[in-house]
Amino acid sequence: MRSGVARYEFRHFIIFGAQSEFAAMATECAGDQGAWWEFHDAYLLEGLARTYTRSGAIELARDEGLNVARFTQCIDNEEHRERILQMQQQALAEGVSGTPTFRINGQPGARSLDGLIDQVYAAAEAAEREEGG
Amino acid sequence: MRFALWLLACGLALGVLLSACGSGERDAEGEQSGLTGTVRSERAEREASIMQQEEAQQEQTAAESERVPEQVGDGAQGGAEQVDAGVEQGGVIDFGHREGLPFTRNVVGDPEAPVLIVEYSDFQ
Repeated sequence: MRSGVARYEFRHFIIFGAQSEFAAMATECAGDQGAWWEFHDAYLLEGLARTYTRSGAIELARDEGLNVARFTQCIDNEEHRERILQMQQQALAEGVSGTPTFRINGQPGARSLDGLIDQVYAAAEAAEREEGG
Repeated sequence: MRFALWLLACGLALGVLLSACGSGERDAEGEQSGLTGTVRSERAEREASIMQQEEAQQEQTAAESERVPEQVGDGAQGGAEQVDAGVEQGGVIDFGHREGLPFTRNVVGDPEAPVLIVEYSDFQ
């Protein structure tokens, strides 16, 4: 597959309560300063437990070189709460009931990794066919 | 006659004394002038040093203000005062396994890519 065929979007779907919601809001606040993926990886890839607390998230913001005052104001004011709730409502409306749930060009994704990869290839080939003719 | 010689000697002595006093005043003036010159030189050096420090600070401030948008643009951090909540910040990811890929907040990859993979997930 050639490069530039697919893009990936992460959407919040809160199922584990307050800590998950806080993590989502902290990540969106980091996104305001261009550090969305740094926080995403801290939560999902590195599993940094400290970041689920206010002080831990602020410490991570400081480590990442963000404007800590602005970040703190953002999480304290829950500035992205509405955005996250909207994602949640949209997901529920699309039939999402658990995580992780995938959509490939709007179509329900397979439950296995191999199935997902096949779907992405199929969608890419379909797009190339449309481009070609 | 002796009295006249005595008067002459006193006059000469007085003249020598006055001459010596005058020379002393000039020497004192010379020393004061030298000190003044030294003080002026030191002040000029201090002023030059302060100006250099101020110029260095101005250059540093200018350099920092130029770095801010670059950091935001390449996916690093900083410059938060310029950023409003909800503004879609993007750039190119400069770390990890997605290094080199363009991103806009929670979307990574070519914005024009025909295939969109959406994942609904939770951070726990």
